[in-house]
Amino acid sequence: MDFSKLSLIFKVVIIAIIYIIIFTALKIMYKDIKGGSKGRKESIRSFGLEIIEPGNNQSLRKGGVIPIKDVITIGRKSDNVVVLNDPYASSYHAKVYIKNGECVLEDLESTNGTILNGERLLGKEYLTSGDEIAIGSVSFKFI
Amino acid sequence: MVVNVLRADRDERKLLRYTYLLCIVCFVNLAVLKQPFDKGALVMSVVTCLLIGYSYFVIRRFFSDGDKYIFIFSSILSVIGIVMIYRLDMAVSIKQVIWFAVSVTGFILTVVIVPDLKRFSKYKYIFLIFTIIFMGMCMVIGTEVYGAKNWVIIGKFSFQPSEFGKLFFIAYLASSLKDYKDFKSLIEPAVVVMICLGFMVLQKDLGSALIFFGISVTMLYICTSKLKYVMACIGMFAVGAAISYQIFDHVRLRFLIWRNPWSDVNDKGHQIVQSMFSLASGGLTGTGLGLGHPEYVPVNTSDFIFAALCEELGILIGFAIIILYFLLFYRCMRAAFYGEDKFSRLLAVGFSTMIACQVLVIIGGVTNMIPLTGITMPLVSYGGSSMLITFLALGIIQKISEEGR
Amino acid sequence: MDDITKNIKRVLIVFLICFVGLVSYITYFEMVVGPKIVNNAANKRVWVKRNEVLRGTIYDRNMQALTKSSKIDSTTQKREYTAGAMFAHVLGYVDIKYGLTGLEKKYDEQLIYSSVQDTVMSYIKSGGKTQAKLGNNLKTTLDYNVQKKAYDLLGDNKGAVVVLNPKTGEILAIVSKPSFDPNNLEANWASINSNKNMPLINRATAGLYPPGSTFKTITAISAIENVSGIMDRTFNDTGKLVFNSKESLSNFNGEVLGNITFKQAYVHSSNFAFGTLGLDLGNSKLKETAEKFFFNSDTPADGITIENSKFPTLKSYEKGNIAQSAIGQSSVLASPMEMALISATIANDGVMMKPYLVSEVMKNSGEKVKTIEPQSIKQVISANTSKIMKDFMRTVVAEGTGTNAALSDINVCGKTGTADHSYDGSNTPHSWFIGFAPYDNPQVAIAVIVEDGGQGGIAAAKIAAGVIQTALNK
Repeated sequence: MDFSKLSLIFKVVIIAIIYIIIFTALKIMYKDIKGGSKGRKESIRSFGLEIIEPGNNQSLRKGGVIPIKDVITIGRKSDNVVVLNDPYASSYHAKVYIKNGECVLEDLESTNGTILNGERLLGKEYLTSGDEIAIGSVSFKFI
Repeated sequence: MVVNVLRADRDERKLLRYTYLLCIVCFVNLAVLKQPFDKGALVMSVVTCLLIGYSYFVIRRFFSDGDKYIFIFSSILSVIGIVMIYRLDMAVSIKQVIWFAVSVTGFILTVVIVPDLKRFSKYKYIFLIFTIIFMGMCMVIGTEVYGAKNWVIIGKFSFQPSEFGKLFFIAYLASSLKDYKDFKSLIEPAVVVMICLGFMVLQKDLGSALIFFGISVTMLYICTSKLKYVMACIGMFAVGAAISYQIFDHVRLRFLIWRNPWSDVNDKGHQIVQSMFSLASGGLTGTGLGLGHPEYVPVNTSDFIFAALCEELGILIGFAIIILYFLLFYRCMRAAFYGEDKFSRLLAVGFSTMIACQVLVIIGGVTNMIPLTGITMPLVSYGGSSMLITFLALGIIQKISEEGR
Repeated sequence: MDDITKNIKRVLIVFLICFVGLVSYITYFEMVVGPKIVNNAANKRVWVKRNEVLRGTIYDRNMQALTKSSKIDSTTQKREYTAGAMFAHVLGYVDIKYGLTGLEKKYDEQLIYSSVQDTVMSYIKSGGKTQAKLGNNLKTTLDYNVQKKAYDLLGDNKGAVVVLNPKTGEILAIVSKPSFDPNNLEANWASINSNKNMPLINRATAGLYPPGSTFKTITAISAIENVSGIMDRTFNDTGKLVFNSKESLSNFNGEVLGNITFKQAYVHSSNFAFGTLGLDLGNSKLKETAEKFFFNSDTPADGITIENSKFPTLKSYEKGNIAQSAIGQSSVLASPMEMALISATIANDGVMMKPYLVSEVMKNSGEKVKTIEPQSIKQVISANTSKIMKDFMRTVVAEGTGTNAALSDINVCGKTGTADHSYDGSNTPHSWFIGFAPYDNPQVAIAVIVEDGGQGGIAAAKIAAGVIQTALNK
């Protein structure tokens, strides 16, 4: 039997599969567009910053936990997520965000620096559970 | 939250499974073509599926924030390419799979190793130097292949420096344009663009020149929003094209053959004429793999692979490929959409446009919609450096797409 | 930032438009340009597809195979012409480099037609077996023996022979010399093309020659139809018809025939008489008669293409030319096929039958696909006029210039022609003979021309006799 003529049937199958791929992809893209910025992926793990030492800030209480959802901005300016009433802190001091399922602490080129586990942080670092972060008189623990 | 993740996961997995199915079905088709059974084809399909699966796994495991669809669309296109090249020439197909593996590794490495792209925005002048080196390399030590002097051959190894140059060129433009304030800041990049275009035309690599132009204009518009600049550029391009038509024989030749390929069917017009025959012989669904005659088309594993695909699998495949490229392009631009700083966004736009322009130029050329130029179809055509560069660019875009989240 | 976002959206749309444009162009290409270029000769696929079907065989009227096709490999076939150069012009050839000519070209579609299709349905129906694709066969009207005789009798001369069945229009033979070997085109192409005698031309249908005295047949018919009392007319043939101080028209060899009747003028081929008749008729009447026989227009035919014979339009003061045209000189040009048709029409009581080459199209199994019936083109001249001409032509062979065409047991009828073509720089005229046989119930009509053959009554007439003999002795 001459199987090569089967190509006649195969070609239709191949074209069908490719178009199924395209339609599936288009559906996904459409969902994505509709979802807009809500389409961000949430990670399975939840992270938080536990306040160890509130320092001079009245708004922070020791033992409180700030949950980390997307981004936590820390600084003196009032549009930060965590507002620090501390002259030691810069207007936009640091940032904690989620990347690839892990949390990253980034120092936003603050004047007096961010201390991570006793050492001054330059740029960014991945956070592991138990890390201690100190900004001015305030300190947090990453959980 | 958990549901969202799972749903996104499921979608990606679904597409991936379809990709495996496509790969297997195509190679089974190829396997039956030979009597009794071509085991090699089945081996190829398994190898390819494994490569794709493993790479997806690695990317998902370690870099789950990025846009995985970029990889999926790229692998679908690569699969189509590998299948067709296998049908045309088995030995070349094996090389292509190896290059695919290498390029995907490069892709993953790029995502791993390259640190936050914002840092690179400062190295404007380093990019510039590398751009000039790569673009100009061929003027000095280049050899002419298929009428274009843009290959460098060292021993048995040959590569196209302009492909690497493209990456640095885009990086330079991005770092230069991000500081756009007014017209004066455009003069320096404008001069660089014109020098590069000049190199391309002198090296007779007109396809790359077109692509460079497309990228430059797009990036210009993205960062300035001024339509009049775009118009001015198009105007200058038209003038430049008219002048080079007068001065350069090879430009005039390409143009004349485009207008009337039938004037020299056996010599100068041979490639485009055979390509048109191939396209016309396919019809809607093609002749079926192995039943057509793409072997009559010259350079059918690289430049003209689109014609070969349309002959055997019909115009429908042609449309599908174009749609897939557009989806890939959309996904890449999306990374620019959600990006944070100007440099990364411009970089993403630049690389995406690079791929999109390449697709438009080669498919347009092969179907005689625009004059033919000697460039490859990204990911589908056989070409080591082409695939590697494309995946490197995609890797950088993937990196940028991560940052957006 | 927002600016960039907006711009990205716009760029996406621009590229979308570009991609859509690309898709539309490809659609346009496939639907409009594609079908036009797909059958171009440079497209090897056309040849590969043709070669899938084993080309059909062409037979003569007695089912003798004139061609043989065999497959060399999946993409090439070998076509053999069993009789070689003998049928080269009428059958033509089919070659990937040199194209198609002759009957091979005219009936190409039938010869490569196969009802076996490459579709999914037929694949399933046939149970997956590959079916052999065989083209249709053709049964022609040609007679191998007649063709061979004509071919042999022409010998080393250049010229042509056409043999028709006047009652049906069937073409029994078409011979053109010099010929070439269609079996070895590639090897011989260079020498074939550089041969000054142009062997590729089918002189029988495409060769245009001054018909000479054979054209007097037309002039006679024109006179019968237009000149009253022509049957009783006499001429005082002094051997030379003078127009003015410079121009005159002489009989062949200056022969003086004296007082002759119209019939005698035809039988002995008097240039004087017919020149005079030409002047009497005038150019327009003579042209009208010629054009009734398809001079200056396309002759309907099947399986062959006939080059148009030409009769000039002359002004009334061009007396010399008018007279010359009446005897088939001046700028009158005719193909051998045309002259054969004239003869056949007369033989068939004035009805011209459409000349055709193929009588049946059959499947490889022998099953008939199509039968081609004889067709009449029109009644060109009245039965009465034909009767008169038939009688004239019988007398030509019995007593006149055509005695060399006579056969012992058959009443051959005809007209000779000695066509001067000194405008070519040649001193020897062409030798023509046109005719039919037998007188009662004609079966064949013939036209013979021997280039530079000299007197019509000798070379061409003898060939005609031999061919008629073979044609009638089946």
